[in-house]
Amino acid sequence: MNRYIHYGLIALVSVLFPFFAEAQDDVASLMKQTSLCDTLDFCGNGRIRQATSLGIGYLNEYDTYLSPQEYTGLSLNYRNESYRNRSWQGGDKWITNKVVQGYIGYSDNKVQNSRAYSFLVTYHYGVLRRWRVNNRLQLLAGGGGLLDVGTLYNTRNGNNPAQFRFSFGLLAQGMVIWNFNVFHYPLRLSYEVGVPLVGATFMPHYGQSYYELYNYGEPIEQLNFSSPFNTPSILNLLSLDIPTWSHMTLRISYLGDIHQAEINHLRSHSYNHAFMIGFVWDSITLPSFFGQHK
Amino acid sequence: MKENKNNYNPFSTLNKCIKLHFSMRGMVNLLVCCLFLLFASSCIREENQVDTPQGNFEALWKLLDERYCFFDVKQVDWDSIHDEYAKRITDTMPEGGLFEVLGDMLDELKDGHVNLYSTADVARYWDWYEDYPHNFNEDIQDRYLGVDYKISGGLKYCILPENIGYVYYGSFEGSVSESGLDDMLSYLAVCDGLIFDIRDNGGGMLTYSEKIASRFTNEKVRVGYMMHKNGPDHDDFSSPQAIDLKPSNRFRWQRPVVLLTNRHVFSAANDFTNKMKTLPLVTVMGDRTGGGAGLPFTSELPNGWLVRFSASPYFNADMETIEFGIEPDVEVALTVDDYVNRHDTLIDAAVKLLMNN
Repeated sequence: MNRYIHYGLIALVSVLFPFFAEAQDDVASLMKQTSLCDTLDFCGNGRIRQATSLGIGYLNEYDTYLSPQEYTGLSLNYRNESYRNRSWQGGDKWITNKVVQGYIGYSDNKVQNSRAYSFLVTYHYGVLRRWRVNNRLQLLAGGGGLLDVGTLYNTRNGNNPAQFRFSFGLLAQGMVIWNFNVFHYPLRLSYEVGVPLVGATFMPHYGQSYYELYNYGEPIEQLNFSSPFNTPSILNLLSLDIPTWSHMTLRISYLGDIHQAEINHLRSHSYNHAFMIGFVWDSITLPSFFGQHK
Repeated sequence: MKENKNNYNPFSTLNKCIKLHFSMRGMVNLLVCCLFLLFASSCIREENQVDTPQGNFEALWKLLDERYCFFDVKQVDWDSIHDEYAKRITDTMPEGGLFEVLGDMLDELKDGHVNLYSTADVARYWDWYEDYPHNFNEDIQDRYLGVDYKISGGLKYCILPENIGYVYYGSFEGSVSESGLDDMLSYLAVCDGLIFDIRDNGGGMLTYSEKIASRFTNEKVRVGYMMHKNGPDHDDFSSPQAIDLKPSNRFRWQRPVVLLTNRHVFSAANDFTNKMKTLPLVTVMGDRTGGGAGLPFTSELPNGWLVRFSASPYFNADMETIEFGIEPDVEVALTVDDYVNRHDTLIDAAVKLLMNN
């Protein structure tokens, strides 16, 4: 497995190497042209800060509907997030954010004679309130809606080959952004946390087959009320933003995506710890570009 | 500066509260709450998965204890079985010895759907057919099928000289398509009756059972019930879920049918027999089926051995278990004389019954 991580990192660095090289040429001019506000802050009405990252991760899957064992393996991850300043209350206190995140992965049991494949796509939309503690530190907190769709497929099982993952609900979010300099080079460190609060999670009964569920039952009846007590989950994202061009910033992140559930006597988790590399850039909405944004 | 009581405005207090709530302090409280949720929520991890002879034994016993569905029906004292077999487990026993002990323990359940798979062997219980006459011989059957029979997926079919259609379906793993059934039934439409032979059919896809049976009814029929475990205790079951057989909206058979069965008919084939037996045009002939009325689930042991077990029981329309098989309407056995003369007693009896009808 370590060999696969090694190959994955080499592939990522190879793809990104041209960008690193170009970035080195521009550092001197960048230092002169760029201020923290230009590259590392949310500035201006109608501006949208976007970040897209790809990464490779360590995956730990567990679902007692399929097996009493934890399966471990690798995940390929994608994350796109956008933050948009809102002029509500006439200031820059409010930000809306939208995140699309997902992984595909495989995992093996301990003796590596059984394999599972999985994917999970997460979408959430939230509203964040911003507090500027000082010129360098910002705190954001808020919440929004969350939707998870995915599956875990065990290649060895018969009438219980897969578990469908579907949940939606409310998400509490918090974020800390710290702008700092290293040898006068501007950097930004941010930590984001998301905790699902209440919602609904799909889970079949303890020994219920999908054959029975879909042929004779009502799948919607298997939506269960979820809360941190039966689905204690959390999303962590720690990112370091390094300005490289005048219009784009390199992002290196750790993504810790923890999903857990204990419903209908069935226990499950999906632990995904990923190393991500991507870019952050600003875009502007067309109405704002033509001066119509309010 | 003191606030003038005369100018007291309740909304200003509310505003202050809201501002306070959305202030730094409020946000810190929110973060603390988030962290509390993070740390208060326990990790959901795997339990007791130790890859030792003892660990594998306990894992298998517990798996069955919590998920097997026929303890009460079969009146098995699983706790005493634990005590009996635990004595045979030692820390130094070889893998083969452990497999044998675990296989013997599973045999106590007397269930064809319970198996233990290692790379070297499969532990199984097959007494449900091994202790009984076979009542089927493939060489003799070939005499009836001839050489120019037709094949549609897993179905072989032909028209016998007595103008009786003959269909053989040897496994519910064999594919069955709607258009294939249309073609087969259209071809056999000239026949005065139909023999549907599922002897030696050990099961497969339940969906095929429903797909084929729906060609033999013109109205919706209650054919049985299904339940599932909704907790780890032996009596934790859901309420029965009715299973109705709906008529196909394609080509449907309208003449008498004889369904041939033997002791090898198991699982999905047993379910098919149950469905067909409910229908007025169908006569079940041959030997009692082998049973197998627990939809099997799969799991595994810490050492990677695969375990299959009955997880979800189904019943006939009278809510009686069909785990131990289904009695035929007409009991017929392959006779020695017919065997010697290469005659299939069951097919001959079915032809006779259909011709008399």
